[in-house]
Amino acid sequence: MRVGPWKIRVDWGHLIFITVIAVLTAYYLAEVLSVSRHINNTILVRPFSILVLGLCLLVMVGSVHFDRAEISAAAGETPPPEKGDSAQSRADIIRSVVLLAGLGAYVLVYPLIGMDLTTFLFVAGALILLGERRPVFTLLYAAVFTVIIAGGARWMLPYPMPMAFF
Amino acid sequence: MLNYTEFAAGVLMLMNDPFTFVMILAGLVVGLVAGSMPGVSNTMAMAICLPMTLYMDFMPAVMFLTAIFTGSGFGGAIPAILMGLPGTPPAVATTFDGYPMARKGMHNEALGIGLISSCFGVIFSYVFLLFLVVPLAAWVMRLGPAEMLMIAIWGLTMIASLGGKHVARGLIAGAFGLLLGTVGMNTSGYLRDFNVDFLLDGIPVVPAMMGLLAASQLFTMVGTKFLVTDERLRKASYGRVVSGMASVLRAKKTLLRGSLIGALIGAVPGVGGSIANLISYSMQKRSDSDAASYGEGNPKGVIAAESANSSSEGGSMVTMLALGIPGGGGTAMLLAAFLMHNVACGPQFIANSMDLVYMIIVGNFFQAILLIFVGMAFLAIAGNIVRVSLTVLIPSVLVLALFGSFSVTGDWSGPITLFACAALGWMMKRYDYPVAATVVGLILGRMVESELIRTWQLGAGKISFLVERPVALVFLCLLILSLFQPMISNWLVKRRQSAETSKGGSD
Repeated sequence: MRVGPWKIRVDWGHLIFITVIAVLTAYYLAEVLSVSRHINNTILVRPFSILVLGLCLLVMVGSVHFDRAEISAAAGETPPPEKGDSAQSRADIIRSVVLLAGLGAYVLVYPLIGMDLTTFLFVAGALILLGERRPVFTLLYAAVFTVIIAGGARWMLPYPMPMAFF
Repeated sequence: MLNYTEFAAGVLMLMNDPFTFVMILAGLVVGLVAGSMPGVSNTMAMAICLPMTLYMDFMPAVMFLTAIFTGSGFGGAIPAILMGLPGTPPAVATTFDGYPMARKGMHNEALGIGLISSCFGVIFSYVFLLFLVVPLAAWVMRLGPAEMLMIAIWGLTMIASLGGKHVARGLIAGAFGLLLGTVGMNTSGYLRDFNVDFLLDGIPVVPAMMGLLAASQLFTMVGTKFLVTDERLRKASYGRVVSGMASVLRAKKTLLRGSLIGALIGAVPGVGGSIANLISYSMQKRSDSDAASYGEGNPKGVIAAESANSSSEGGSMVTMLALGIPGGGGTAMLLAAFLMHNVACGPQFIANSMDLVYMIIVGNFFQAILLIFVGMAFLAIAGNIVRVSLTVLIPSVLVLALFGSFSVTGDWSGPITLFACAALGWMMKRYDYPVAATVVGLILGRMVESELIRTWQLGAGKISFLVERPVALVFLCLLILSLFQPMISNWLVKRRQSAETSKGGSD
């Protein structure tokens, strides 16, 4: 985006992430203050929440970059947004998001249809998503792994576990 | 100090019962297996095995349980190194350099380093216990909330060194973790749980830790074929495990310092191994001239973390034996085993049953030596994990972490925490936030808040209370020193360099 001689570049992903952190912090601070404003309740949470919110504001401002349009044009290209421990391609990132969604679905669904069945479906689905192209191996591995893990957990753990078959 | 007659009696008692040695072997295997399974802690393994000890005599029963304790100390390092998956808080710092070593194909060396550092840590801490059990117990009794607060904040200074190149992001990560650690009911009875039942006790730490550190890491590896890119480096090699073990001997200072920190911090009830490994790692990083290599696979990082978390075992035995106060879950199980055999720990136990104390200490020396061989045999199987394709490993580890998180909480709260923290950790890694700082904050949050409230109350709202307590003052000085030590070191190095340059110029 251009404003006068300035070219504004925003790292949207980072901006959204830090906004989420700030909102969560503010929400927690509000929860704590709604319980009680006594020092025993706020002694740590209040100063640290304010610290986090202040730092988030600083990072938010930092995620918006102002470049002189002429300089950027002379450089030929704008530098890519800053990324951390990520050398993944766009396709890999999409697969990561799908895998994360799959994990979320696994967690939400297992109390309804059983840990064993969801484990089998998750492992088989994840293997396919991550590039496994041998159907027999996929089904066999998912089944054997499920039997060992779900069966082992059923045998070892004293808690009631939702299961479809075990 | 050492009562030779009682010591000889303890050794003879141990030597006269061959069944005890069988139980030590069994305990080490159980501990290694339990420790290497994410979510299955030493406490859980000891709890499962506790009823069995009812049918044993006192000596084999205690040796069996302490062997589980010892075995799981190193067992936790195996998933931490091979998968970046810390099954328990004491294994957190092992992941910082152990896992990058594995990614470089140095998993054999890292496991060898972890094994020998753990064994040395256990031996060191029991030597410590042998000579200092009585004076150390008296010292621990003098620690109040102000001292505990200082120790916890000392642990929190880790955050500063974990911040990396973005200081603000490091502080956000640490402070946000600290806030997460205070969710739930606090020590004064105020409930901050968003009306979610399972948050009454706070965010479950182990599932959160597995999600933040391990599960999130797996998402960043989508698109990679193997943990170790170079096929030649994937083999499990005893030669390289042994060379890793030998390399520990070249870092004696790191090993000794880590073991000493572990033994001292481990003696503080409720703190123990969770902080010892972080403080040891932090001090090692700060004192090394090559600080930038930490987190990238520096073997000294693994030595510092593993020696400290293993030596905290002996430290925690001090308060258990001398005061009857269990410092953590493992020692609580041991205390239960003692009570089941009508043996009560405490000052009377130390005064009247020193032969039993010496027997436990000598038995643990033997355990540590035996662990080298049992651990080596165990690594032959565990070390092959890097040969498994990530296509298979990623979903398998995710499922393992999910079952592990369920096993910790026994309900839906573990898996949902794992998922939420995996998503948070992945985003943090994408935007270069130090996830480990959040984990440290999460572990220490509740303790810092509780001790802060107690200190505030005892000092009648005056901060000067802190400086009136000599032990707290010592920890405060240590804290300030460790905060400014990197700056002082840099200044000294620059001064030396400029002096050498000017000297070279005048020549």
